[in-house]
Amino acid sequence: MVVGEKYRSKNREQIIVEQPYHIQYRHSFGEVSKFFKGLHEKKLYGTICRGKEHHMSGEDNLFVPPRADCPECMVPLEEWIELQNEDIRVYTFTTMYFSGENFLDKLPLTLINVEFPRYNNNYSKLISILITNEKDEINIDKKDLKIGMKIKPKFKEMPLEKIDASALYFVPAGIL
Amino acid sequence: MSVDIGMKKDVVKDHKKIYQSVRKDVVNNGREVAVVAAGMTQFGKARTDSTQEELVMDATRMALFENDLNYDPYDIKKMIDGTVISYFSDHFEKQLLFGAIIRDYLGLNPLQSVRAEGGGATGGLGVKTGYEMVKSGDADFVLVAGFEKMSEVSTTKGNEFIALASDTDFDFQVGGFYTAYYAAMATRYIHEFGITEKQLAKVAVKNRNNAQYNYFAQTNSKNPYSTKSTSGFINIDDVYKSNMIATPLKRLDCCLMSDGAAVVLLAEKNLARKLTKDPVIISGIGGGTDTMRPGDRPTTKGGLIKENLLLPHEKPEWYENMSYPGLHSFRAGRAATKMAYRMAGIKNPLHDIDVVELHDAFTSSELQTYEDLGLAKYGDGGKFIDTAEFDEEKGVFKEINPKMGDHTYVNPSGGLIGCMHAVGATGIMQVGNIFWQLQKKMEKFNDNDKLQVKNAKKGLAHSHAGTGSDVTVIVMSKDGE
Ligand SMILES: [Zn+2]
Repeated sequence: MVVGEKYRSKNREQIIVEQPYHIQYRHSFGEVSKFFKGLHEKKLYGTICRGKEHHMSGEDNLFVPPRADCPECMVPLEEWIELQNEDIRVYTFTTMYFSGENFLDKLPLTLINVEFPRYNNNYSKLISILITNEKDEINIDKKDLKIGMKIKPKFKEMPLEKIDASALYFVPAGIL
Repeated sequence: MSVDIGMKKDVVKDHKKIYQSVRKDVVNNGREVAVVAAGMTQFGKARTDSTQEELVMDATRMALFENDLNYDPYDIKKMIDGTVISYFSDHFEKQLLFGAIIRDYLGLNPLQSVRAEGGGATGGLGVKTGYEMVKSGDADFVLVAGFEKMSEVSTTKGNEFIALASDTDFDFQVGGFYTAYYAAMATRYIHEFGITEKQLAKVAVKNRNNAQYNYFAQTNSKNPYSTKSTSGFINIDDVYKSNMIATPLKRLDCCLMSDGAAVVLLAEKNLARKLTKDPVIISGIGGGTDTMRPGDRPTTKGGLIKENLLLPHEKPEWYENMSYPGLHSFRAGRAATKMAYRMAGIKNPLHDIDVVELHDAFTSSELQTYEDLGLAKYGDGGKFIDTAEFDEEKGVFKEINPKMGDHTYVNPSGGLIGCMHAVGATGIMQVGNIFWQLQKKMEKFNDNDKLQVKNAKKGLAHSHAGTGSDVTVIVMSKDGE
């Protein structure tokens, strides 16, 4: 007998029940709330730290997603910069054909990490959604989807009290 | 000498040149730690036949009763003086403080106990925590039990729960799904290093087919808890044809969601030698971390050298002009490896290590981990899988558990793709497998010797959390090697 056989219970009776459980969270975006207010106002914000002497890169650190404090300088960051008109590129991508429960109705869906070539990109490769065909919002992987592709941000209408990061998405820079 | 404060100050002052990512010295208080027993359940997609605590009991019984220990198992149990309970999620079974239920169920109150948790690396962190208890002298004999039961919610809800381990303000809100995060990393990894679809698929073929000889594996079609559609042998075409989940990762590139438990017993070395004739020494152990959002990882030219992450056999000129780590690298894996190798005195992993159980969350992460463990140069993970002999016609490896490099065997258990990923149990299952490998007991537990690595003297278990936020590396050696 295989050793493990000894440890399987012979008791095969089992009762299985359904147990629902619902939660609602009251969540604060704290000191980076401005980022989410920005999405509501069709603006893409990041925070920036100019304490170059403490940065491994020796350059300014751009934070997208924003941080309220620089992990290298340990100082609070007060400077916000607008990025919606910056040069923004696809750093990497994937097209999802399966997902967690919360995204099943949006499949297939392309996720990207973005790159801001003007900055050192150590803290700024934001993950977001890329829509390649805005008209019908059907979003499949296209042959022209590639690393380095120029893109621009777009903003979905969302009430401020329900806003989340999916209010932001990107489209190829060629599409209006 | 424990910590050289003077050295740390110099490093901080000089931080632009070099970062001290890794502990310099091994604390030597004369205590060493050994594994003396292991046990695990058969893994399944849904072990509805048992509750979680019943599964942990099964694994514990196996550890105490089936590891050829020198004393009566009841006497051995009385020697345990601490427990570590490792489980990842409070959501899957909507039970906080599950550790208390487990300790109670095993009859191990009122011993000191702690929960270890760190995403996918939970099991590895559990063993590391147990190691620390014994090494420090807080305990002499520790039971480390890990488990997860992921089947009580739907697969899509399960994906969502796991994704709660990503940043819920940003990453989760736009994708909510780990396969997608790893897939985006894989896209960039392929772009940087020219990895092929075939190299990825080979990992799936190797691990899934190994699992067919692992008694405990979820995809082993002989396992009564296996699911027909996700068990049995596969060839490379099966991988190519499996459903796309998130480009470039297909269904068979992905790890399993599982129910089950695993246990190891750790003892101080002198005690261990009394408990068993064949203790396995933890000769090196290390941990590492990285940003939770992979997009926040730096892209520094020569970063691998600047961050002091060269492994002992590597040369600075290999990586001087490469940007590191970037979104597609597991800096935590290198940090953990470097720490463990320093302690174990590993000078050349390809030569020194015979058998590896590593965290193949996805086929891409197995290739990346070859690099982090120094089995291949950074960027050459794809070439390492190509060192195993492959039958092009049949689309499978010529051997089950194929040799890679000169004498390295990776994931004989089938890993997370073939055996299981019941998160809190995974790292412990890996340590248990390496322990049995070094004790030459694979045949005893599997009822066949296909997975036994002959003459294995040193093994390694690598545990990793989502997109590489936490990694542990544990080097294990036969006593006296
Ligand atoms: Zn700074």
